[in-house]
Amino acid sequence: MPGNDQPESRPGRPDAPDGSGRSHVSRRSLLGAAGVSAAGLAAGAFGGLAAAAPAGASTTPAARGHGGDLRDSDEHVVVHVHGGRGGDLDVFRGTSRTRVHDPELAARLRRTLR
Amino acid sequence: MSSHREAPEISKDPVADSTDLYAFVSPDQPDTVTLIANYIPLEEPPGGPNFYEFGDDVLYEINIDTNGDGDADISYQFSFTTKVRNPNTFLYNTAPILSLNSGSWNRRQFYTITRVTDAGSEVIVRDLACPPCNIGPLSTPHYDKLAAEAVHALPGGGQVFAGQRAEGFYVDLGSIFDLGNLRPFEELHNQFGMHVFTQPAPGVNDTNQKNVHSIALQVPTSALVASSTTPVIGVWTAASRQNVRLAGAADAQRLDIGPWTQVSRLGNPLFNEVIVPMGSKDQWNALPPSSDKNFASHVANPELAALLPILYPNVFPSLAALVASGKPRADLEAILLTGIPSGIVPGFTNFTGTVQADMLRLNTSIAPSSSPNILGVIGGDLAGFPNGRRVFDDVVTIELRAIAGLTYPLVDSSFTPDGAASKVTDGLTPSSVKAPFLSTFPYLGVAYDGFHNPS
Repeated sequence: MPGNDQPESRPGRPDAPDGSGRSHVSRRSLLGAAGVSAAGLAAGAFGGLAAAAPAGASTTPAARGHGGDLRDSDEHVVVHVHGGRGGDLDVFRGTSRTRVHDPELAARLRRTLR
Repeated sequence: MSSHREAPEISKDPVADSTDLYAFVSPDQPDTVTLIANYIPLEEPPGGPNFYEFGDDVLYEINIDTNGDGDADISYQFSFTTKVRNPNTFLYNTAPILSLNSGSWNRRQFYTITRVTDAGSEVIVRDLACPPCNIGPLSTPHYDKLAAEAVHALPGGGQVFAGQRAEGFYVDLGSIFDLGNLRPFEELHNQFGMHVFTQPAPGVNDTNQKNVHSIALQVPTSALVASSTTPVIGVWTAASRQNVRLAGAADAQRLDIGPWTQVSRLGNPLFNEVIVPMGSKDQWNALPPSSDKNFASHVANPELAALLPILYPNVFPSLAALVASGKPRADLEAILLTGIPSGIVPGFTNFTGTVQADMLRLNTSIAPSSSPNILGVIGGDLAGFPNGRRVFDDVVTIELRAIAGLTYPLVDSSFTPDGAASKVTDGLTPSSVKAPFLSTFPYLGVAYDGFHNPS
């Protein structure tokens, strides 16, 4: 079951200009990211990330400084699949990082490397 | 050095490397405090064609703790933006730069200041101009004027400068890092049996005629203290980079993304440099002062205190006995980690509480000295280090003497320091700095130009 942890939020950073306090990264978008990223570890400027996030899929904000909306296809997103078989991923966007726990997704990303 | 290249990782990232921090009641504006954070160690003035500049990808901060918990209550954040007029030339400038908006200056840098408190963040000013680097008599013929133009008034009082200045920290690097040699006493060094030195020699200032990049901020004291009854503040500077860097990203040369992560920190001079062991230096740079209890044992039993009696046989017998006793150096813990409580030094305290945190502690209620002593508090001048730090304070000598045992009687009156503890020095003074310190903001000397320096 995918889950999400608390985001990293460093005190003292300015709030996201959009004030939303939310990010828009979804499991579907991560899968899309895997398809775009040759390495499966990083992706940039892929569209469709604003698709509705499935319940419980991810995320949390922490973007303090750079706001923006992933409907802006210029926004870069980087995904870091942790080592081991734990299924943890970090999704980076702007100045935010969101921890995602999704062993299935992590496994699929790794399979793209084969 | 004070904190130049003091840890393995940050030594490879000079743009983010904090080198010195100063905090003092402004001598010419005593209702204000001046905070100066220096970055980019050992700039060679002729270092073109890509002259030194702040990192657009680095978040610089000057942090102030007002309640003694080792966490920031006030942060001044500085973020920089470089603007290139003409990317089709390799030149920094195409004619003399006579003003900050000179059309012949090709690569300019601007900055925004954000003040962050628990109540939120506020952009104080945007797009302030940095001065160019001091290149030489053809490119920057009136550099004093250019540097002065880059001093900007702040709304609400105070002023700010960000750009190149002359390095003011004087230290005999070449000697000290040659196995703890001090030229004025080198004949007393054990020399590992090689008999290289037979007589004392004058110190050499290895940072002379080098520049740094300074962020100098002068603000009303009332903007920094919690109240007039709590005049002591703790200050440190930090630099952060974003978590992830992609080299050669598809549509950019480089992509930085993710939360800001601290990569450099500096409070008291030489703390990470000579107190924290090598295996912990990078970790220390990534932590806030409130975590410093984890490093307190290195203050209580500093490695250098044990080395001095070995390197200088029979010179520090009392220090050797103190080290052998295993007694913690409560004097150093007070100076570096908590501030000095009242009742220790007559008429003085910069105590912030029991939380052990490496911060430069400044008692803002102590007026500037009309006749400063470069040895600060141990020289009888309560307005100097370790009560904050002025640009001319001889922090190398002060800390050498403190570690050698000179300050231990503050916590143990039965201890008699070695005679050498009040004499040990690397042999330098402010006169060892070619560019004179200024009596007005930003106090550090005008940057050396690359045509005449080094000479």
